[in-house]
Amino acid sequence: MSTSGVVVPSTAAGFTHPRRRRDGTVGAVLFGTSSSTIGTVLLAVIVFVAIFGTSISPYDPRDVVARPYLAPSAAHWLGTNDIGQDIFSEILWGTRVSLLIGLIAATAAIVVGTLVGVVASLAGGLVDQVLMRFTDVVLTLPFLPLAIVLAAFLGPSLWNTALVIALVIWARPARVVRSQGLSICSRTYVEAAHALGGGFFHVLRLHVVPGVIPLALSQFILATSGAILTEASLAFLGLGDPIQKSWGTILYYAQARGAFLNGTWPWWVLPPGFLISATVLGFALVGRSLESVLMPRLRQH
Amino acid sequence: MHVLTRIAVAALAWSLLASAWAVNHGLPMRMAITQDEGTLTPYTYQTGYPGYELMTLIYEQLFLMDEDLVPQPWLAASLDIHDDVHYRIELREGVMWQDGTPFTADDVAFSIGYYQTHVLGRFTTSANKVVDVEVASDLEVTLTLAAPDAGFVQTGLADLPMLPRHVWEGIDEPRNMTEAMGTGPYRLIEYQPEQFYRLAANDEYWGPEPAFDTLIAAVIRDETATFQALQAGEIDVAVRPVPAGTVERFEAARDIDVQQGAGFPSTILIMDVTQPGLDDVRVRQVIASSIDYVRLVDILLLGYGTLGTPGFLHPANPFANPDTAEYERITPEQVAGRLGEAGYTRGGDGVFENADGVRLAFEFLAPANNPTRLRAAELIALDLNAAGIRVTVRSIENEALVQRAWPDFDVSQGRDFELSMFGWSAPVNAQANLRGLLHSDTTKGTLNLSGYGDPEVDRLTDEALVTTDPDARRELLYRVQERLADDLPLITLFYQDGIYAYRPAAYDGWTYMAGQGIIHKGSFLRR
Amino acid sequence: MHWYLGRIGQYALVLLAALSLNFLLPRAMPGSPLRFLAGEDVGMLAPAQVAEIRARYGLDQSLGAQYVTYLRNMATGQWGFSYQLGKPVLAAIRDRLPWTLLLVGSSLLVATLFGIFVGALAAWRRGRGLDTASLTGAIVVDSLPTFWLGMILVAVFAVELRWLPIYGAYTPWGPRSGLPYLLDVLRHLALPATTLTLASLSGTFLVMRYAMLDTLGQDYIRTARSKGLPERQVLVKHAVRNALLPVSTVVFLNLGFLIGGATVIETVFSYPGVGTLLFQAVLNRDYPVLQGAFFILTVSVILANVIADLVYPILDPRVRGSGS
Repeated sequence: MSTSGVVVPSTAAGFTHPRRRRDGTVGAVLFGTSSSTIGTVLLAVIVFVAIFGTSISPYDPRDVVARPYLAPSAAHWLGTNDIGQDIFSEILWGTRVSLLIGLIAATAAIVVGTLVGVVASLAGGLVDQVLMRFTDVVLTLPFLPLAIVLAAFLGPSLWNTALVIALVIWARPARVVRSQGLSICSRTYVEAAHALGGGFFHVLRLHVVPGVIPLALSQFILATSGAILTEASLAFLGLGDPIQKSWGTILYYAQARGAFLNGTWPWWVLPPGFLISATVLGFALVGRSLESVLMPRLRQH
Repeated sequence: MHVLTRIAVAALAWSLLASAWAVNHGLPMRMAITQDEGTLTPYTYQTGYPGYELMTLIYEQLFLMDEDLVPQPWLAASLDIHDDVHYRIELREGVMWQDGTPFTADDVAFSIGYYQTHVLGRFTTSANKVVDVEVASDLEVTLTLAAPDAGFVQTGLADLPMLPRHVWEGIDEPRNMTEAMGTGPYRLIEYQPEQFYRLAANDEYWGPEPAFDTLIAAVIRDETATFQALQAGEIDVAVRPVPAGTVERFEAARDIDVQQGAGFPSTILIMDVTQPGLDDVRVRQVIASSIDYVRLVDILLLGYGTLGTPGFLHPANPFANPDTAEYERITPEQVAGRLGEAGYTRGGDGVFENADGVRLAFEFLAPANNPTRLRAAELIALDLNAAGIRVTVRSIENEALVQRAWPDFDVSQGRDFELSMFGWSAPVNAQANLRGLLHSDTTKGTLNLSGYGDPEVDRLTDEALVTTDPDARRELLYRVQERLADDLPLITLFYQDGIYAYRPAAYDGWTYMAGQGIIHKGSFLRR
Repeated sequence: MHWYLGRIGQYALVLLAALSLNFLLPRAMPGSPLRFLAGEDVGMLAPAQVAEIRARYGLDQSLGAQYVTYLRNMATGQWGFSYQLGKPVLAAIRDRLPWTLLLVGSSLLVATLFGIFVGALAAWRRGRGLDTASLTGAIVVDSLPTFWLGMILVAVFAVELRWLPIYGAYTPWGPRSGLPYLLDVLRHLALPATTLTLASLSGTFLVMRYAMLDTLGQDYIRTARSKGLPERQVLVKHAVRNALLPVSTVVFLNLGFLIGGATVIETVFSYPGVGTLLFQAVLNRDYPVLQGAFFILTVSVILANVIADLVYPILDPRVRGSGS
């Protein structure tokens, strides 16, 4: 669960893996255990909806197609919202926006975080000090006001929401990647490579990058689910872009336009929330599976 | 043993019931307000509504607006106006400050002077109209205005809360004032910032008996929480209007009553009339004529609203011109004809443009934290895009929007928008402040966000200001509204009806004040 | 000793950077606090009057001058007067902080105890029903949006069932002392605290479980077991005690984040904590309150870090040995 700003340490305490059915790495990650299979299926469905949702939706969710506040019916599976738009269609379209914001934010955050982490661990000394102190500052900053300032300053839009999220979540991957980088650098063969006159980029390319990539990948997956949750929280506080139909903005309008007052919340508020959870869950399950497959040290648990 | 237990249980249940009954009858009036209102003094209250109403339960004015928006003598007993500028006021006898000190003409003179020297928005503006104060006796004072002002009784005498001289004399920084004490029917007993105010009836009050022994004004910021609390019986009345989507449910509820009436707060579309495209009155007319106002009220307000009038004033306003009550509607075919006359033809993408390369494509600002206005913008965009005027709704944070539409609240600093959702609070309408809305001089047209200028409107509004004869004034304001309806620097979209809900079991003496609702002083007094 | 000095320097740096950002960010926001200084009808003021107000609140000075004033004032405890609340910022924060501490503290306490207990149990019964169920539960709860869960809890328990109050920290017209007051406060606390507890549950649980598994695999546990000590004693005396080490760090780190993170939950429940104070100050451009609340949050995060730093060596003799 994401209370904005609360970052529960993503430790490697994943599910146990008593029986691995597949040996191929990708297969093991996606279908190695029952939990990863659930995660994969969830993600597959969500991605399918994100890609084809706009074609399979019964209505254009921007059009006013019926009276406001209708209860679910054959014509409108999840009823209509406060201005008579079809909620089911809104949710289908919103899937793409929510997922996109999550992916864009996570990509940006991981790229920056990995770069900072790798550079800090490799360069060491002053560079490391400066980068890590800066990372600490970002980690210490109160998340919400930072987000509102940036959102208000940049103006709400899909890209800006993603940017705001990326700016507040890149620091943690940077720290994680740095410690991984440090542990790689301290290994004897890297030290040997250094001693043998291997240059900075040589060590980077041959040892550090391959060692860090799996970690960055699993951090990316966790960051995506975090970003999707954060987008929903921001939108709920009225800090997202209410013009873009995402799961978060559907919830914002539901709350702001009386879903909890006139009893429409069971079909207006519950479905977007469940979808957010399902997506986050899918990412979390696959991410943990990836972690335990790629990092053998953790496999013992 | 068993019998004893049963008796004990019964006794316990009975005493609980009895105490519940007793508590129920000693219960205070529980009212939900929208935000903190400071220490409830004239310098620390926050909102025009409901803060001003709450504050004036403690600090009173010389006149009081009644339910039909007619000023009635309140702390004043009578008023004679000589030569349009001399206001001789006889004060009511026997009025006491809540600490027992008599209220006198000295307090009136002091209050005017204090508002002049200690700046506060509307009070200072009103007080500055007074150039001379003459105290004739304890109960008689004459105010002299610099120039005739038709609205002075309403915007001055019925607006300025009187301050007790013996308390405020030494106060240099009124915003730090923590002690609220006036002549009013209620005393402030307890204040927990951001949480609640506890007021108690002033037993020594000179006027009608206060309706409640105790009045709790609890801050509930969230609209949903407010009405959930009303439904659950945690509060007895809410100062917020009921959202349209909830009215039906409240009307059906047996323990909740609903009152509905005209609402003066307006929702408008403002245009920067200095922008290319928007500087052409024909384009503005096409925009105004392409909006489906009926659908706005029907869908957005579920019918609980009044269609906007091209003359801005609400139809219930005594100064509203019945000839400027409705916007003309045109079909998409007519749009092409009208814009054709103005030199615009449809481009390849269906958007109109003229030979100079001016495209009728505009950014339309809507406040991100105001869902009703956001939704209105969405619906209007559907209408205008269908008509071939490309409108892109952009939601921006409310304060950011205000900063772009009204930088530092000073129209002389210009503006940075094309189209924007906006709204004016009830007083702009109640006071028929068309001069503020439309005058081209930025010191007079302080609300003229569109950058509009018209010599005829300037002349008419200047004249209306100093015309005290009601019929002559109305005639002038009618003409202003006609100019406004032709020139359309702003488009009045709708007026949301005031719908107020309360628990009649707690109190059912609420009366509806035109344009404002049930929260006004009259509702808090037994009459 | 050297290690402590380094940490102090580091926190001082974070503090200064955060302070500077606290100063700059609110001023980078579009929008002006004028409306909140001059009242709602600020539009009716003449420009000269506006200028006078700006001057009175120091808004007409250069940013540099405002910054120096700001730093000096923060250092000397003159956090200014709220534009909106009609009281000093420190007083406003003092009013709010206890509620946030109550909410965060009780949630953290329950979440920690529960997390430790279930985490230890899950690790002990690793791979069995309880382990799988609690792991699944933790991951599912972790995937719920906090504000959404809070809204649903209000809808069900406060609006439909009417078991618990909808908003606030206590009934304004209710009892103000003794047991009835305590019960009233607890009733108001129940829903937001439950939400926040769920929000922070999985972190402690997962770390505890992981640490337990680690400990249970250590030699001394095997030794203890082979000595024939009762299983319960092995578990509590040796395994749990050692597994608590990493958990303690997580708990204190969580504390700092929770104080700021409670903002969303306080908003949903209209709970009068620092979070709502901060959020309203942001919306109202109440710079002094904004800076004060920012500062408190930053300090609490740092404080939680410091406590974690201090507690860790006490709990772990190895660190203590090498640190001194």
